[in-house]
Amino acid sequence: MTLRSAAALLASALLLGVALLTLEIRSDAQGVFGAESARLGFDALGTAEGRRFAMLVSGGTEEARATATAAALALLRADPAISHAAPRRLAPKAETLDWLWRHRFRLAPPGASDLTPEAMADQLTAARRSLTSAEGFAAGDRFLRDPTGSYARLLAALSRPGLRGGGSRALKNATLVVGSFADGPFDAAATNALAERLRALPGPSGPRLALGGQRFVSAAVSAEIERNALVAAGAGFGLLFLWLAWALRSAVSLLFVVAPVVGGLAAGTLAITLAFGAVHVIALGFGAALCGLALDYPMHLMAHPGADRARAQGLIGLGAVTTAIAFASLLGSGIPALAQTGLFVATGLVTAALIAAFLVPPDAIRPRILALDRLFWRLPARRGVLAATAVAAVGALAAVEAGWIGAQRQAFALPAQIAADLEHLRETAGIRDARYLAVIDAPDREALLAKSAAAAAALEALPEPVGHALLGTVLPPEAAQIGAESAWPDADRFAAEAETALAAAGFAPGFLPALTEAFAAARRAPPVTPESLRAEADLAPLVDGLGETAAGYRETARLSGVSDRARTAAALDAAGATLLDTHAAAKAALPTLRNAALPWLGIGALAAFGFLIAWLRARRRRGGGDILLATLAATALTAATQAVLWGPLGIFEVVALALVVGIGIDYGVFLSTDHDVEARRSGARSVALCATSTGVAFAAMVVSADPVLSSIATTVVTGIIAMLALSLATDARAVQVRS
Amino acid sequence: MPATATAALEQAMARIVPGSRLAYREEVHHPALLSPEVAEGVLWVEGDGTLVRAQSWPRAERTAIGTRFLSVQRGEDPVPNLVPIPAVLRPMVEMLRALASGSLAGLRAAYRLKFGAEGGGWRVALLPEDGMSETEPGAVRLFGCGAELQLLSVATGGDGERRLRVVLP
Repeated sequence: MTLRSAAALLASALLLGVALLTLEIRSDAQGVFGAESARLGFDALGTAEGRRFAMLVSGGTEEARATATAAALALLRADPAISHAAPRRLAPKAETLDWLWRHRFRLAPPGASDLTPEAMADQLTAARRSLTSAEGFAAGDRFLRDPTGSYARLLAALSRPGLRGGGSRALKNATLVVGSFADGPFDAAATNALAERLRALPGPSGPRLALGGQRFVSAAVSAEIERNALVAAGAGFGLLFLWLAWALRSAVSLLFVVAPVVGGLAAGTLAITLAFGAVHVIALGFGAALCGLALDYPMHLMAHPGADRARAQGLIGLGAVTTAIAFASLLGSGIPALAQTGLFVATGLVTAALIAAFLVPPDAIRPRILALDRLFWRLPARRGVLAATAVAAVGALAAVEAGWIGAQRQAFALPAQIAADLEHLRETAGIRDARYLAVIDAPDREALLAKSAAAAAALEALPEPVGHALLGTVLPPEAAQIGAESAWPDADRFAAEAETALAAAGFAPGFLPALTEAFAAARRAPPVTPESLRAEADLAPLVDGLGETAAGYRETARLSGVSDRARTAAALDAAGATLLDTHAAAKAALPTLRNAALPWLGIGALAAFGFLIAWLRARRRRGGGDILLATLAATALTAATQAVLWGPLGIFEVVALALVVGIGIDYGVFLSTDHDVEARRSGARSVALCATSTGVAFAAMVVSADPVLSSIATTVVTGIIAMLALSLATDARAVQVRS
Repeated sequence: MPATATAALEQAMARIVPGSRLAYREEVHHPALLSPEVAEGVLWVEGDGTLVRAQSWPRAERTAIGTRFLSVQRGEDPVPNLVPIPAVLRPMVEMLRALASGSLAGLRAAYRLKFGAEGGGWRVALLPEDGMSETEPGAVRLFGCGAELQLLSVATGGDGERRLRVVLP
């Protein structure tokens, strides 16, 4: 090994070491969408709604259910990631009702119109009628002792379906526990571990334990993706290793092949760390896949021994810089994860090309490769056919996008275990995911509560009322609580009015002292704050949706029974709140990324090909137009094939196509027809080696259980075939070379 | 007398065919009211143990009482209102369940039964806790004469009382 090669390997190792020491990976939506993430609803896991969870213990004997529930509650309460967990109550317990009775004038303040003798007489009559109903049973004589109707209004507000924490169904042979994760970062691995420990509690013959909630769902999805990715990566790297071991026939050769990629990946992550502080997991995944292109660089060198090597080094540099220009364009996308991907690929490929340039593979290495130069084929009117192919493919793509032709991409399927759990929660407890949320922002808490009350009133005024859990329904702003006191008469005045009301309603006059005593006690209660609600276990969930933001306060409340989305959105909008459709936001996530990436990739591709053609012309060489045309046609053909067979392209397919473009430039510069016969043969050999290596690595992913990995692999493999077929199509003169 | 009361109560219970419907008239007495509030309806226990109170007067209302929750459905409203059974009402609910099912076994297991004489008949008090008086909210008393059940009385808050007369088939 030469000193130069050793220095290149050392540089690669050093870069790797520094990158590993400084690497910080983030996976939050803010890192993908930046300031847009909250508007799109992608910071859901950090909101109160995203932190909420439900656990249903069902089946088995009552004793087994009680044991499993107690064990699960103990586990949950001991976990620092859990804020609270408790068996669901459909209505407050007796102690909470006592607290509500004492604070009724604060939570449902009576106005002047509620305190007239006529209004109080009506309220007393209604209270008497309720004595024979079940509610009358439950309330004792409190409705009688509160002629202002404050307590009745408060209980009515609290009995709204939306305020019961989801699922108002009485459960048979099941116990429902509801709770919330603590307000902290989402840790998929820890959440999954907790879910596994909970599910293991009842034992194989015990009751069934089902889990729901966005964090449990996200953790299960992450785990499945990780499993599938590990299997696919393992299979891909395994096959690649076997292929390279067979083709290169030596461990040193393998080291030469791997070193530039490793150095490139390390440089890519280091560049992001320096520029952004941390590497987003999307940039890491996309960047690593795209930097896989650098695996080709040392193989090109090995396939160009002797005097050809210098030319190969130049072409590698050309290919790397051209592809880097294309991807650097993503820096302008404004989407943090895409900008990071652009920086990652640009830095990674250029670094890998530099390391490859310093590495000097021994001439003795003669890879076993297919004689690709025998596969050049003659295509009459090549340029015209390639241009027509590109146009037809773009037309097909447009038709698929418009929904005229092609399949619909298969919807994302949840992992089986969590999907079964969610179905069980729906069927047994009537718990559904919260599709619609009301989001309210305000600079301070008082303003937030006022807007919350206005939003609640707006929802309740809809023709088909929407169920909600807005805090403003039960908690007026503190200023309003204090302001309401001005409508309350003094004890003597109240006694006089109440006496008239008792007489008008046909009640016993001797009941007056009980009324005045209850009125005076209610007046004395201090104002209620979110903190005092949180201190009451049964009422704490009401405050779950309240949180602080950089700009003040935010309330996020789930809505139910939204039948007219537009009308609900308009009602909330008029009250200064926003309707968030979490399903639509989730559906829009990937198209948003794709649409943000496409124009910048287009600009990048134009700049890259402009550079390529200028570089070639400066050296009085032709072929730039041919490379552009073949790459364009092969990429469009790949995209159209994927779209027609599997549905409109998403961000993952677009990134895979970007890799195909990079491959096209790489193959194009080596298969360029502007050289002598030997040069063409060397180029064909190295392209054959690279194409087989990339194809082998991605072929293993085609059968992955993960639809995203499978789709990326199918796109790349199709792209390689299309790129080879169209790059090898040549004119009569080149075909003569083959013969 | 307690032995006589026990025997009388058991004779009365023996007349009840499990699952049969018992007509009732309820009077709610309270110091605030010049005259009691009256309700009428039918009681029965369903196969799964749910006690159903179908009130026909003063307004139609169906209350289904399970082990932990009761649901109330009235008029055309398709959505029942579901609430936990208040602790203060549990003795009354259990007594009604026992009457409608014709079995005292559940009551004897969970409550203290205090038998006594009342006028020419007998009285059984159902006390949830030791030391509880017969007039504390939640305490239930059943009055009878011979094998006839006459009145079920439940002490409610604020010196109120519910009186339920059940007509055995």
